[in-house]
Amino acid sequence: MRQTYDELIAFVTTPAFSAIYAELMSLPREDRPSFIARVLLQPESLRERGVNVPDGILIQTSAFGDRRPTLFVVKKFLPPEFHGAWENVNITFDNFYEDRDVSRAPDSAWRPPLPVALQNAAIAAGIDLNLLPLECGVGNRGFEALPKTP
Amino acid sequence: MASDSGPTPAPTEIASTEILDRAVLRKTTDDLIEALTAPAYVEAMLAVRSAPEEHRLEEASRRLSPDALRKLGVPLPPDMRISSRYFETGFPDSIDVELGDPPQGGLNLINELNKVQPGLLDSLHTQYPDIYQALVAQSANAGLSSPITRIGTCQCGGAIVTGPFGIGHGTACGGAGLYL
Repeated sequence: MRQTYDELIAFVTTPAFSAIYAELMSLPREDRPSFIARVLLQPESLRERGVNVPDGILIQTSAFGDRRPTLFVVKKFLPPEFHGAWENVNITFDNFYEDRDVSRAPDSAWRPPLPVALQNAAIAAGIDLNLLPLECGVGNRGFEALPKTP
Repeated sequence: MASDSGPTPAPTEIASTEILDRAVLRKTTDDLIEALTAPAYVEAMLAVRSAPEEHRLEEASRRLSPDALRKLGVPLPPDMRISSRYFETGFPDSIDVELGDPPQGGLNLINELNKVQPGLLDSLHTQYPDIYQALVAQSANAGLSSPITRIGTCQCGGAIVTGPFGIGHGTACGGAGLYL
């Protein structure tokens, strides 16, 4: 796990990647998902900016059940012999949010994550992700059995 | 792409390359590894993984809350978050616009967004055409409302970078993440 994290850290701290990240974070919050779609998720665009993504490292989008406004993730799968306990490690890049605005309570943290496209559209529009109904979540029927806080 | 509406970043969010500091990232991930490999955490995670699929989320929400894990002696970093999560490999391909209700039932995502903020669709179409296209494509995806078919196959441990100063906290889904 330590070795794989070190590979991710070595990649995200390269000057070329750091420059893209700095450019991303210099944009208004609502503009960032579009930049990610046009630059970070496009291999050709990355190459043009001098970023060489090492074999096995993935740049992806994701969504969390606690509705934190996440932007993208740099991830690598651990070797198969570790999959009994862990499958992948990652460094996840979020939009800024106040800690108090994202609950750690189980019935908030274990909501169905929003589809990434919906999450990004809401971020682009400046909409609080918590305002979107649970039914919008990915695979929401699988979450219906979860106990709710009275 | 410029925007003339919505919040603008606070001055402290202006990033520099110093945000991605190797030493800070290493310290954060050291702390995270200590938590994720703690025997009590591994035991809780394996219990979640071994639960029947229909009870796996319930087990995860009960066993993997920060409070519950700390009571078991897991050295979670102070700001650690544990949450359901899923990954996508990229944006959905663009398809023809489909604004009706999904044929398989469930919610139309565009309609839900427009309920929260009327007129949003037009502004998205103009200001963020790539985001608009991705939303339209995903809205028409028949799998959105389907039951989770591979719950519990994702076991991730992540370090979070939020800005303004880079590292916020660790995150994990504890073997209860989702792949569709």
